Amino acid sequence: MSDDILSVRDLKLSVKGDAGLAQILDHVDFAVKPGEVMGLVGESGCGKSTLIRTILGLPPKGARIDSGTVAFRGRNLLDPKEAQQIRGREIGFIPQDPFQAFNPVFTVGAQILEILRWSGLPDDPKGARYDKSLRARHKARLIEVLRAVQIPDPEEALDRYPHQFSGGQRQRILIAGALATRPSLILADEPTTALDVTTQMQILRLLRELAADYNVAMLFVTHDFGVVAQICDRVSVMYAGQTVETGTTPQIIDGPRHPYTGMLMACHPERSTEITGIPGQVSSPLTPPPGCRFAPRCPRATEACTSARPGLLNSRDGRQLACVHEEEFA
Amino acid sequence: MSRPLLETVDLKTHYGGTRSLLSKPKPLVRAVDGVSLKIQPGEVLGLVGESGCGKSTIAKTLLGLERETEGAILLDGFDVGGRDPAEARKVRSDIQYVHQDPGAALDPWWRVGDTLHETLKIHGVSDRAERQARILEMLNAVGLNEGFLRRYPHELSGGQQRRIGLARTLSLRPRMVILDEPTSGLDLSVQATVLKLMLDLRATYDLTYLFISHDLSVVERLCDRVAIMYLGRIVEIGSADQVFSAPAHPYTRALLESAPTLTRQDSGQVIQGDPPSPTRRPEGCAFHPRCPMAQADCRQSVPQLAEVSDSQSVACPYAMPGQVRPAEAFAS
Repeated sequence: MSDDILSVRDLKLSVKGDAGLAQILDHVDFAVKPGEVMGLVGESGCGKSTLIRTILGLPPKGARIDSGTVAFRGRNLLDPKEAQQIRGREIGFIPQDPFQAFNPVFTVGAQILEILRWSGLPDDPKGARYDKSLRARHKARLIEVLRAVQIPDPEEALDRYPHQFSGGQRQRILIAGALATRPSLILADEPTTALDVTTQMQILRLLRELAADYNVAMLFVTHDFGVVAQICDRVSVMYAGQTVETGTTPQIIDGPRHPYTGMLMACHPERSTEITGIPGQVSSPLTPPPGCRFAPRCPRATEACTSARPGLLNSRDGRQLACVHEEEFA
Repeated sequence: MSRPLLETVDLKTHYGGTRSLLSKPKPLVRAVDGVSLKIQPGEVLGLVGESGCGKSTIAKTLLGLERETEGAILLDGFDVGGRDPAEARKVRSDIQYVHQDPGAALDPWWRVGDTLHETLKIHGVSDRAERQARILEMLNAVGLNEGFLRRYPHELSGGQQRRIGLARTLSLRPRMVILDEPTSGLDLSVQATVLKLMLDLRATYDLTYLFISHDLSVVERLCDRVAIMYLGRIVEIGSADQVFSAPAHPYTRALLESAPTLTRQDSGQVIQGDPPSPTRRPEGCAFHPRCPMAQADCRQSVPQLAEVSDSQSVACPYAMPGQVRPAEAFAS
């Protein structure tokens, strides 16, 4: 297990707000191996964004870690100092919305070079002052990665403003920015939801190639199983702050075993002949139901489900599963 | 065939292109550039295209919020085009609109009930009891109860906001509803229930839908017919079965191949480039710079829609070999 690049173990996090104590994450547990693309799937409000922020060492205001660990190559990301060293250097980040990520009044080159100025590149000489020659090195590296993400005329592109690029190109530039520091892990928070389908497919293929070429692991947050099928090697499914099932992409898409994963897959237009849905609503993190949080909406729920939270068990087919009804097959 | 509920003939909506004394001339944007559509009563017509293709401009023009530059709009056989926005809204009150983001369409300081009452007041229903009766009927129809009238918009979930949006529109008793991306931003499980509700409502109230979306999988399951738009023009239109099983236009094919499915698509050509901006519309067929099968004449003249079967028309002479001759398609 020590070869995991990112491991989130038993993470429990609550946020104190005006309305009371919200239990946002409840035993989230998964790991990302080097070079692997891991999908993180869940509906809105399931805690994906909080989890991403926690991994980046920027948990929401008022957050309290109740238990668990988050480690990057064995280094503790829950320690703010350590996280600050890793974030933006060894862990890159691709935001959701390429239209909001840039400041409209500066050129894209100036913006990304400014980021590189503070993060530095791994091959920068030790203790060097930021001067013209260092800036030129950063620029050369940036041009190199812009070429890798297929931006035409990268030298010239640096001097252009964000509005001169289309959404797809802006997303490519952000990907280049994330790659520039040679990270070994990239967090991608729904990087294609703001894009059109034809552009989305281009970006997905690009990310897949880059992950292989640069041997970068990726944690890919999405809610679209179609996107998962295109890019992810494995998937972890979250429901209301709990990890319910983790497995390889074919395992989750073609043979989901947790009732929630199964019902979610059945909602996919490709999978259902009749339009269904999942009855009921996601419970509030202020008043989570005891035990399995999906139990109130689950057709298979019994007393055992509400008495205790089902543990995430290793199943014989290699997946992790948190459901008492599947334990006998685990 | 029965008389279409709504028909547009060569509808064009252009923006800008004006010059005034001291300002820079604004570029001419041909947002909608010659769209002819017939929508039969009771059908669901899907309008699909990428951002900037003019889908929403069509919706605004049909509603009367934008004035068309050219072309005719016929509602139930009567010409309702060529009027200024205020009058256009009156004569077209049979057409109503469900906002893309119904949360943003609700006033955050108003209780939902007040917003719903205001909608009816604006449309001339002055009797409070009658308004209340209509509102309760519609709330019931969309699966919400009276308690929601006292809530504020932020107390509603995304799915509930859509339901309120539908109830608000339906309380005006429209015959045709334009749904602008009605499921964008919704989770899969909620999206499914909202789609089901929309189909149920159509059956109950004899509605006709113009369903604007970029989500092909939703369009495929909900629509009877589908029109594919690219830069202000319809490039393919036909029955949903036909278009999805045998897409003819190269752009339609590219769209269908780009939609992520549940199996990994390693093969298949991904279309290159981004959709060009409507201010710099390429000459001839607007799709030719990205088209894998573009020929010399595609750069010069704009292909017209031509029937390739009973239920499918395509604006591409090279789409179906042997069925449409180039000379025929380019004749305009």
